[in-house]
Amino acid sequence: MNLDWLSGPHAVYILPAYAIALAVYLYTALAPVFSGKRQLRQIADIHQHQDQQPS
Amino acid sequence: MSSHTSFWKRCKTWFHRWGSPAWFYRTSGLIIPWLWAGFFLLAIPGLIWGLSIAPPDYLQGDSYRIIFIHVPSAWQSMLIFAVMAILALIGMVWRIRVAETLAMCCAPIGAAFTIVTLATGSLWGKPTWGTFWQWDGRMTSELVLLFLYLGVIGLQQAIEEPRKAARAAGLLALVGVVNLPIIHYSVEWWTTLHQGTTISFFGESSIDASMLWPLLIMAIAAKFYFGAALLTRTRNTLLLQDREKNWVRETVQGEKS
Repeated sequence: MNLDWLSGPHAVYILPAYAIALAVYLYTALAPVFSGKRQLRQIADIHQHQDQQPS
Repeated sequence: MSSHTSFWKRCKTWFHRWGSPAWFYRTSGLIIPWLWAGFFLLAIPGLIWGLSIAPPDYLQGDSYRIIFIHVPSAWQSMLIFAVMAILALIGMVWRIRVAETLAMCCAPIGAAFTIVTLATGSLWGKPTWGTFWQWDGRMTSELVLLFLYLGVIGLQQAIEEPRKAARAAGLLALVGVVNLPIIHYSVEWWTTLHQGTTISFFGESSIDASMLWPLLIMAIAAKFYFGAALLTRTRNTLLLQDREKNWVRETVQGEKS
C-alpha cells in the first residue's frame, strides 16, 4: 500500500475529485431508495382511504 | 417440437415478461441486491488498486489517479445515453411502457455520470494543462451531452401525461445520439487539449497493465452501479404510475406485512 500521494502536491486535486464523485453517486443511488419508501407509504395510505370509503 | 425451438420460445417468453410492470417490479427487486454486491465487490478493490497499489505516472505523477473515476464515468455517461436511446426506440416502436419508463429513468443517472466526468476532468486538467476548462472538442461535446440529459429530463417533466412525455423525451434522446460519435472522435477530428485515445479494445493500449486493470475493474463496477440505480428508479416510477392497479395494491400490502 502506497498512499504517499496524500501528502503530495496533487492531493488537492485528487481528493476533491473523489469527494465530488462520492457525493454525486451516493445521492443518485440513495435518493430513489428513500423516495421509494415514502411513495410506498403514500400509496398504502391512498388505498386505505379508498377502502374506508362507503361503496 | 425440437429442443432448439423450445429454447428460443422460452427465451422469447422470458423477454416478453419484462414488458409486464408487475413482473418487472418483482424480478428487478430480486436482481438489485446482486447488482449492488457486484458493484461493491469490484469498486472496493478497484479503488484500492488504483489509489494505493498502481505506481505514479512517469509524466503526470500522482494526478493521473483521477483516471480511475474520470474515465469509467465518461464511458458510462456515453453508454447510458446510447442505452436510453435504444430503450426509447423500443418504447416507440413496440409501445412497451416498461421500456419507455426505463429510458426516462436513464436520464438522471446519465446526467450524474456526466457531471462527475466534467468535474473530475476539470480537476485533472488544472495540474496537467494548467487550466480547469478549455472550450476544446472533447470537453465541449461532453458538456453538450449534459445539456442533452437535462433536456430529456426537462421535457419529460414538462408534459403531464407520462407516456406522451416519454415519447417526446425519447425522440430528443434519439436525436441526441448524434453527439456520441462527436464525443468519441473529437480528439481525432480537432486539435484538442484533451489527450487522444489511450485505451484500445482492438489494438494495443498505451497504458501500462498496472494502471489498465484497476481502470477496467472500475469501469465494470460503474455498469453494476448503473444497473442497480436504473432498476430502483424504474420500480419507483412504475409503482407510482400504476398506483390504482391491483398488482400495486397487492405489492404494497405484501411489503407492509
